[in-house]
Amino acid sequence: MNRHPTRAWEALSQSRRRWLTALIAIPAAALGVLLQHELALSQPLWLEILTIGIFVLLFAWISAGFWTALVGFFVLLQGRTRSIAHDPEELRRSPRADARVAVIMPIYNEEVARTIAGLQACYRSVQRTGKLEHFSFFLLSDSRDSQSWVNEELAWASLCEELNAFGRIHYRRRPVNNHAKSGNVADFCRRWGNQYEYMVVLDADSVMAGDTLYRMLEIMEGNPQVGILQTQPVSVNRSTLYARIQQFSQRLYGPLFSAGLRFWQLGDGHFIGHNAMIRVAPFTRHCALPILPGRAPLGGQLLSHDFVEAALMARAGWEVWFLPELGGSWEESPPTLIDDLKRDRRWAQGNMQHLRLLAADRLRSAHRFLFINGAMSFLAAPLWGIFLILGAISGLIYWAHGGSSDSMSLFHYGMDNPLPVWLFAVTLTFLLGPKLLAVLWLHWSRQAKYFGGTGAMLLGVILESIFAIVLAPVRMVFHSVFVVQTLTGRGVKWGAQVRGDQETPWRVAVRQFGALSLIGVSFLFAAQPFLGFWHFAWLLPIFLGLALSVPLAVFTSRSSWGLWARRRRLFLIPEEIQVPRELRELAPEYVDFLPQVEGDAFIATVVDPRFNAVHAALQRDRAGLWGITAALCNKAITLGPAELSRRERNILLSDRQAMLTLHRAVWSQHEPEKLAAWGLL
Amino acid sequence: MYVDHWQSGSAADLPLPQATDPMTAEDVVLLSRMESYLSRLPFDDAQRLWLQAELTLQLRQLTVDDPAVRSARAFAALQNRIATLHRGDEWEARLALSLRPVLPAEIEQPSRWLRGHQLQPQRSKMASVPMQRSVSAFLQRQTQSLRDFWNRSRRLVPFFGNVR
Repeated sequence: MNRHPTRAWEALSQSRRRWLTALIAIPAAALGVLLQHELALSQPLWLEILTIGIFVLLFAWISAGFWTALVGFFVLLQGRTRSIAHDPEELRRSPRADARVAVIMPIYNEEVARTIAGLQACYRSVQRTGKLEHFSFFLLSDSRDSQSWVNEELAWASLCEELNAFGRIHYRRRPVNNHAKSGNVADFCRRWGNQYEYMVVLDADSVMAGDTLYRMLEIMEGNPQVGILQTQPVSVNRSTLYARIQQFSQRLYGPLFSAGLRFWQLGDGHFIGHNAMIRVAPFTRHCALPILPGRAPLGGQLLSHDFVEAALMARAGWEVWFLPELGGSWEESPPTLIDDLKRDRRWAQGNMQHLRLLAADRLRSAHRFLFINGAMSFLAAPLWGIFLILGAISGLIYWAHGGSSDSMSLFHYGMDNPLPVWLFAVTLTFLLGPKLLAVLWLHWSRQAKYFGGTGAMLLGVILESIFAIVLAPVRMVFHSVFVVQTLTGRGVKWGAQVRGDQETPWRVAVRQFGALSLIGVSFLFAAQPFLGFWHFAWLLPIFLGLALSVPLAVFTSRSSWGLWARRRRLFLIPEEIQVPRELRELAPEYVDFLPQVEGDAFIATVVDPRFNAVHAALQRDRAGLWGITAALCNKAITLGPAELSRRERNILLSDRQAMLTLHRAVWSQHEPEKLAAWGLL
Repeated sequence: MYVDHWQSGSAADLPLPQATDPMTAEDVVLLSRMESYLSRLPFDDAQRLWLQAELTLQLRQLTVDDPAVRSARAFAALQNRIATLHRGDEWEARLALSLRPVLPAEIEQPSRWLRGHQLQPQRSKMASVPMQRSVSAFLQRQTQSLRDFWNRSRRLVPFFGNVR
């Protein structure tokens, strides 16, 4: 299928983006000129150039967010995000009878019960639409851990049994998991891609409503030029205080930013790697990821694949649309500050790699901008850090020339020279303006009740803003470290993500943030005499944030605190007031049919006659390995399963005959110690 | 070294039962282990009773005293009987029992049925497309597009000179 010849939205999007560029560039440049007037006489040239340069960059970065939110505000006030004719949603069409969608869920050592609950919720939701015939589901495992592997397999079989969905829900485990998640998806495309016209990628913590999936199918069917449809997943379901604050801010301010993004992007949208529908044929043809020359972390495999895939899709002439108004799309956010920072570490590396693709031929400018934007979300941290250091140097120069604390006072600036106060006010407006706009919009659209009422919502916004301000210096330090690590060649490995609500113990928090807290406390007690009162007050939020990082990490990781806030209607989101059915079905009682694998799953698969039969049925005879598996069977029987390494277990598990033989051998044993090793005594 | 009595077919050569032979303490332990095996499979009551009776009978018939051989033969005999429930294949029998709620009754080979319900791959290629990432080439392209834009603008909007 070729792309559609007409692209009615392109001229409009170009004009809008020129406006955005002007809105970002002109105020940033103007403020830079004003700052230059302020610094020209008091600072050395090198300090002046550096300070102004970084200020302009940082201001441009925050103003992009501000203008996006402002535009989003007006779009939402209009009551519709579809602002152009020939919008893809206007061109929906009933799917052809043979239109097929694969809903794929790549997983890697995930918590099985939650994964299965999510898949089941999606399946049942599609089933309720009565359009199940268009959809197939795939659990695509990359798990290396035999425990996870076996659990996934048994859970899949039970799920199929429960839903009578053999043949509609498939399970595949990749023996070699190269290229991580993107490689997993690519493997699906290579094996089964040509049997499906569309695929929906879900994360292990994603849930999508059947209505949304079917609507996306209709949009795809009516718009043969569209390559990717991206929904806006809403963060839900967490109970730790940290995650509930993140959920609240994302749910409250997110719609403005999403509507604004949609307004600028139109058919050059972004892709976040999940909760999106993709046209498989062009994805397979054009979106295989390049391997960057050089070694990781800046070279080699791309760690963050989604933005690049969207860019490649658009490069090949296909449209990528972001549809925030679709709804019915959810995910879960990291439960604690530490987990959030771990995720940021991977993203930092991935986004820095994207800069190496900036000069690629035929990329659309919107996607180049997304690459820069993504990298700036991490580069902003060291830039802010350098800006603060430059401020300190500036202060030292001021002291060295006989300045006094009184003349540094805010009132002095306000009366004698209002410029710094104005600069501060403008920056603050650009930073906090979107929050205010979001509150106004929710108030006018009478949606405050879904956030606990106007009072609770306002209190939530104030507390969230304080939390964000206090946390900003912690993020700044960590993001700066991530950037420096990436640039100096220290990469990260692919790891499983934490999906459950796990509290951060004090010792872990002290290990991660202890040094920061110490620095913060030192500055709090020692810096005031050197900085003068007002300069100290100016930097107080930064010192406080650093000083409080350990207790913040611990207390915000507690579910009890999150639930306490919830009982007082704080940080409520609409999904907590009216819980969608799909989210209700994530509760543990909806997956109580899952087999209870006690202890070691490898032992259970060898010993339990049902597990063993199902597992063996899903493996093949690997005759080439029989020499090795015979020796391993013998080792397992004579020395016991505890003596087998993870690799040896995986070899045995991957061969049908080995598993059948081992099953018979274990049950044929009579020596008590050997039987005990397999849990049979 | 482990010897697979099932594969060696020794279970088929068991002597005829003597129902009155007493059970040794070791046999009782062995029997309880075999019953724990049976309890892990969803047999119906008739099947379970029959298997238990067969197992007891087989144990009484065993003439060897070596506990290792007795244990191996008892399990081989049990598997043999389970196999008779499903056309002679004990693994297929276990699989059929495991998939019983959804497995159509007429299915002879549950393993084949299960594999048949796993979508068979039809391979296609997915390889990255060439990408020119040179910065100098990028700058050349940008310069050229600026030049084109400038030329177009001059044709459309002549700022200076006479319009011809």
